[in-house]
Amino acid sequence: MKNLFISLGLALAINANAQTVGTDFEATAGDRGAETCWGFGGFSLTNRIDRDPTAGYWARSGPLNTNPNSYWLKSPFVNLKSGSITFKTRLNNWDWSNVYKVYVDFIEFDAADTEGEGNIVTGSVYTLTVPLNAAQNVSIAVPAALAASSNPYKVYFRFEGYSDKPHNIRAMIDEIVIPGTFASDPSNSCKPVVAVADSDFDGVNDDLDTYPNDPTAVHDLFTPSSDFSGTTPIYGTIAYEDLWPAKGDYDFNDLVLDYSARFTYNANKNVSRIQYKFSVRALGGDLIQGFGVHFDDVPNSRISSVSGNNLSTGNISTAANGAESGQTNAVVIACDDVQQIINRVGGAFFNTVSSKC
Amino acid sequence: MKRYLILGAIALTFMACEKDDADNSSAISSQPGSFQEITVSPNFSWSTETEYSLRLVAIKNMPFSTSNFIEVRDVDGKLIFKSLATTADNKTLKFKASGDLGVTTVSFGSINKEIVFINTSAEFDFIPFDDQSDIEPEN
Repeated sequence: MKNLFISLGLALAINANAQTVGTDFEATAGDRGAETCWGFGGFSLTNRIDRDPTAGYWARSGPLNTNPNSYWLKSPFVNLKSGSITFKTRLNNWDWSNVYKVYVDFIEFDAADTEGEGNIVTGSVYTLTVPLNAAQNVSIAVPAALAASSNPYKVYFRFEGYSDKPHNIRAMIDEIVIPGTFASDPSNSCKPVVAVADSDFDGVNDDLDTYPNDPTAVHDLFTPSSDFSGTTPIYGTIAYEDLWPAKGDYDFNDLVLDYSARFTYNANKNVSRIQYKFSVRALGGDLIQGFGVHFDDVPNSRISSVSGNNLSTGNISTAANGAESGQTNAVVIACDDVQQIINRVGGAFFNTVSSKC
Repeated sequence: MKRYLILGAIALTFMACEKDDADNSSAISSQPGSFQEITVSPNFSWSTETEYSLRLVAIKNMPFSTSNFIEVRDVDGKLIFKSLATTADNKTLKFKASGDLGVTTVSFGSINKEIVFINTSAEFDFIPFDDQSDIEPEN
């Protein structure tokens, strides 16, 4: 059944993949950051286009110069197919003495690079014809070797322009279409999506799965919190007054506990197990002190097993699953007599008077 | 002169303390005579946690989705929430945390954003941060 589900998922993914990658800069309305995994060097997106107010949004560079590395665009990683890369381009100004070139190259994937970028594969240079301020449709064939390759590439657009006159000429480009399929993962610095095994067939790939061989578990979350990595718990502290709700001596030191709870979630985002760790910090009461956890809105029947608790008084009766019997919602008694589990000098008090620490 | 200023400041401090105490006692309309007389409404919430809502905004221009973990860290870098998500998710995640979260860091893989919860709600999109320092001001 799991194999069937995976096959179905793959088929849907293939159908959803468009056979071209591109943008006309309209959907993002000037927000270039929303052009997923596109890279911009000195380009902004603008609809303030000279002499063509109906043109919509274009990408526009700063003032061009003779260094083609000054202004550039990079596509997401694409699994290229045979065909032609097409786009519209123009200068914002033209004075008859301009020269305008667009370089279209390709960037290999390099897993060791922080952005996944490796060597540049030289493609083509397109020199525009006059009038340079009129939009021109450019078509450049994908090199056959790259179209046949199973490796993904970025398409690298660079721009060079100069004028005999001191004009402020800027490159403009729009309606880019690249034959191939989108292959970047925005959650991984836009590096190519890679196939990762799912050893336990729980629907979560092994690179994300803390428990890659356990179909009932995917990841942990500690309460009250954990360190930055999420692997080392940060403990909370609970202090009890043992005559509560009566005031008693109101010193809240009859039992003081550090606690941490590790909630383990499965692929359906449900909690599949909980591991509590308690540490007795102080015991300042004369009575027998025990403690447990009451789980709101969790019926007793939903607990499959309990382990690791310490019950010694005979006052707690448990059901077959280990939770306290007779309760509607689950109650797990961790310990019914703390005196039995602490190491101390002796006497009734522990860590509440200086001689009994 | 300096000595008089210091004495004056001390006097003002004591006057302020006296006034606050008087205000607090008069604000209590029905004061129980002992601890045992305190009654708590059955509807009173003993919880020390606050529920927060994080609305995810899907990426529109991707032909497929990718999975990763949404992680929320507080201002000290402590991980307080984690859940599986995909770039196609348009939904609201709810989680509980103690106290006032204020500024948090929300991450999804390599995407990290500083997010402020306002009235316990915030929004996160899956668009990587765009450093626009390369754009010249006039462009």
